[in-house]
Order: sequence, then C-alpha cells, then structure tokens
Amino acid sequence: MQKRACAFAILAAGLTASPASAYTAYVSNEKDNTMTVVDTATMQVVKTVEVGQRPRGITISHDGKFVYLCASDDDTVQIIDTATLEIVGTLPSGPDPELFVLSPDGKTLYVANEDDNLVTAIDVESKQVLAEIPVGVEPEGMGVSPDGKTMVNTSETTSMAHFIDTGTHEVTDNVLVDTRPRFADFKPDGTQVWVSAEVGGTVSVIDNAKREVVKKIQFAIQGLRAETIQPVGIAISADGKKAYVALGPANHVAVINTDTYEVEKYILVGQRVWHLAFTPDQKTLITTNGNSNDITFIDTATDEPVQSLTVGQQPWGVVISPK
Amino acid sequence: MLLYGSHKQDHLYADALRRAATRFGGQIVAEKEFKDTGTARRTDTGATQIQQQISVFTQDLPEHDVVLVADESEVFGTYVPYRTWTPRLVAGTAGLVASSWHPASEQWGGIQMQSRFLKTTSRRMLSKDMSAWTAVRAVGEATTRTKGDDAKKISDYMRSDDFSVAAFKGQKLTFRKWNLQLRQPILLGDTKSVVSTSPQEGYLHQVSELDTLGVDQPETKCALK
Repeated sequence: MQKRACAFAILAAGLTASPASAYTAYVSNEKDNTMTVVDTATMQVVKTVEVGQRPRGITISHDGKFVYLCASDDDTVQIIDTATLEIVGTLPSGPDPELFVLSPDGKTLYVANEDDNLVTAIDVESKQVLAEIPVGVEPEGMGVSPDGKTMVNTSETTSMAHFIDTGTHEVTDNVLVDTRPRFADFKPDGTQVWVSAEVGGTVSVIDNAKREVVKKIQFAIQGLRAETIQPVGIAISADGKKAYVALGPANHVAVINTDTYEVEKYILVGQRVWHLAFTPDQKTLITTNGNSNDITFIDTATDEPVQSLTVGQQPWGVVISPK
Repeated sequence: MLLYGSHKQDHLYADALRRAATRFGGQIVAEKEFKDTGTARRTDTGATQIQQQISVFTQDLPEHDVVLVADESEVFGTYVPYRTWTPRLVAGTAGLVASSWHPASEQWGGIQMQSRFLKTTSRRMLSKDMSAWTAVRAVGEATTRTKGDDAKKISDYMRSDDFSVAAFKGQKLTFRKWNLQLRQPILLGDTKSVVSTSPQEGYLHQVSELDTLGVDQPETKCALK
C-alpha cells in the first residue's frame, strides 16, 4: 500500500513537471507483425497487439474508435477497435497497401498500392471500392487537403507528386520533385503541400494553387554524409509554423521554420527515423525509429528529445488518438 | 590465397584482386594458376572431373584465411567452394561474389522491382538486367528533368552535378566525372542471398564513400575529354 502511494506521488510529481495529457499512440511494427499501444503520458507500453503481415501505414478514425492498418503482405487494411484492441474487420485495399490517408470527413480512405501503380479510394462505411486511380510507378506518399477536395499521391520511381481531384477521381496535375518521393503533407491552411524525397535528400514545397515547386529545402548535418540524409515522414504543426521532417538513416529529425524555410534544429532520435505524429495538444511529437526498435518523444516547446521507448521490431508508422 | 585461371579475363580479374588487396591492406600469401588444358588433358574422363582435382590443387598452400578465385571463364572456379584441402572461405568469381545486383536483393524497395521483373519475365533479376534498367532509367530521368527529348540537353544533364538516379540501392547513383562510370554500392552475395553491401562501414572518403570502391580519381590517368 505504501509502495503504491509512493509510486503515485512520483507520477503526480512527473505530471506537474510536464503537464502532458494522456493520449494513446499506436505504432505499427513492420518486422514482427504487431502494433504497440503506448500511453503518451506515462510513456509506457500498454499492450502489444498481433496484427497482419508487414504492418506499415497506420491511421485512426476521427472519433478515435477505429485504427486502420495497412497489412501490406496480407494485401488488406485491417480495422482495429480501439476499445477492445481486437481486429474487427478489413477493407478491400487492393494489393500491397503501404500508406493511406483518411479524408477530412472521415468517410473515404485513399490507399497507395505500391505494386500496382494505383491509388484505391475506399468508402469506409460500406467497405466498397469507390475508384482505382492510375498514378506513377510505386505510389507511396498520400496527403489530403484540409477541405478534402484535393488528394496528393507521390510515386517513388516516377519522382512525381500527382494531384487528384477527389470529386472526379482524376489526376489533374503532376509535379516533378526530387528522387524517390515518400510522403506528402498539406499545410493546415491548405496553401502548400510538402513532399519529401528520400534519395534526392530534399523536401519540395509545392504551391497548391499554382501546382509548382516554390521551394526546395536541403539538409546538412555536421559529421554526416549527404547520402545518409534521406527525408521520409513529415509533420506540420497545427498552427502551420513548424515542420518536422524525419531524416531516415541520418537518425535526426529536422525542425523547419515554415516562413523562412530554414532548418532551425536537428534533433537526434533513434536509428532510421521513419514517420512522426503529434499528440492532439501539439505538445509532444512521437517518432518511429525502425532500426533501433524504439520511438522517441520530443517536447515541441523546446524541441528536445525527452524519452525513447522500445516497441516492436522495426517500428514504421505511428498515429495518436484524437482524445 | 589467390587462385586464377589461365585466360586473359581471368588474369585481369586477378590483377584487380591484387590491386584491391594492396589498397585495403590484405596480404596475398600465395598465388596459383589453374591452367585450362582443354577437356581431356588433366583427366581421362574430361572436364566433368575438374571438381575432383580441386582438393589436390589446393593441397600444398601456405596457411591462409580466405581463398580468392579469379576465373571469369568458369573453368574451375565454381568447383572451389567446399572442395579446398583446408576448409576456407571462398570469394571472388565464386563463393562470395561482388556484383551490381543480386536476384535476392530486397532492401531499399528492391522487392518491388524484383516482383515487377519476375511478373514480366518469369525469372529473377540479374546484374546485367539491372545494368540495362539503370541505363534506361538514367536516360528517362534526364529526359524528365530536362523536360524534353533534346539529345544534347539530356546528355549534358547526365554529366552535370545535378544528375542522380535511384536504383534500389539505398542512395542516389551518380556518374564519376573522370570516366563516366556509375558510382554505385556493390552487393556481396552467394548463390542464394545477399551477404553485405559495400562500401563497408568505416571506410571513409573525402568525396563519397562510394569512391572507396574501384579506381578513384587520384589513382587513375583517365581524363574525360
């Protein structure tokens, strides 16, 4: 009893020092076919859930009730009930789903099918395929505009960002970016799309109105060779002021001022940092570090890494509950 | 230990191994040439029995850690692994082989490429397939970047500092300015799997770690005109 009181006191002290709200983070572990459930306040693993083969892309319904997970080698998207942490269904994703994005109204899931050069639009409610949109070779990155009207897909081998009208499901613009684009993220005001190029080593900022690259951001970390800097995941803060870019085997996250496009800081995290997600209060950013099998919590006020936590094998994606 | 064949290309490969050994601090303790004497000269039953001669061929060698084989003509090299007098690792044209691609390479998105190739051709992708793909992809890349089909512009772009191409090897590939050789990581593999990828960690270079492989600019007399 005494022990418990003591533990509580430490926890309470911890809470006063850093008033983080409790959210739940879900991490997909590509290599051991699991999803790790993490409490963001205690920064501890709550549970490890067995899922389909090669889980990669992961997102959550806007009400926080269901996690959607790309089980790439099972050619399906699994639906996980966040209350019971059980797989309650699947969505017809098409073959080898890697990454996807949920429309702002929560009704449509857009999935990149890496092997078939397609983007599949799925109605989440009816679990029906709405459209299959041909894009470039090896589609991967998926972003949707805040108004839901435009979807951007990046194709790794074609090195393009394809702009898709979500009303007609037609590709309207193709913007050439640097080699092997992996991820696309809209600024919260919808004016720009940021696209990372893994092999090119840059982030292209695309003007959403003009549909052209307005800025190419380069990276340089002292002591690291240019080839090791491979931008992948991007997370732009809700106020649109800061962009965080995961630099893969460079083991750092770049913090970019979105007004000046200057890199203000490089944060050392784990090995092969791949994707990132904010907590809803924007106070914490979580990164997945594939080769060190852990995730890192970053305090966004100071942009310092606070803690790393071991999860499953080769953590790939992360999503955090909205509540 | 260096075993080499008697044909011209085997001698050239042996030269490359000697050069690499000097460059990276390896010591070749002994060398032996395996003479290709045609089919039935060495044994009554002909070339099919060459495998039985390997143990004897490697019997009187000084102590060594690894056997390097230079036999591009494939007269004896493929028989060397598992048949040496003392059990030793084999590398070169047999055993652990350095190549620009490997049918089992799945890293860096390679699995997508392998699947596509298998679907199209019903076989796995070899080095020469990858070289052909990379060559075409390089031209394609330059065409897209220069936004046109002007041969001069494409050629100029491919020789410029801006050019790079991605070929499922974990980093961008570029051309060496002094001889237009493709600057790329090299896969080390056996018959079934990829063992490692060079450059090996720890080998540093002032320009690009990829230039620790092959003949570097200060070592060559080549100058592109």
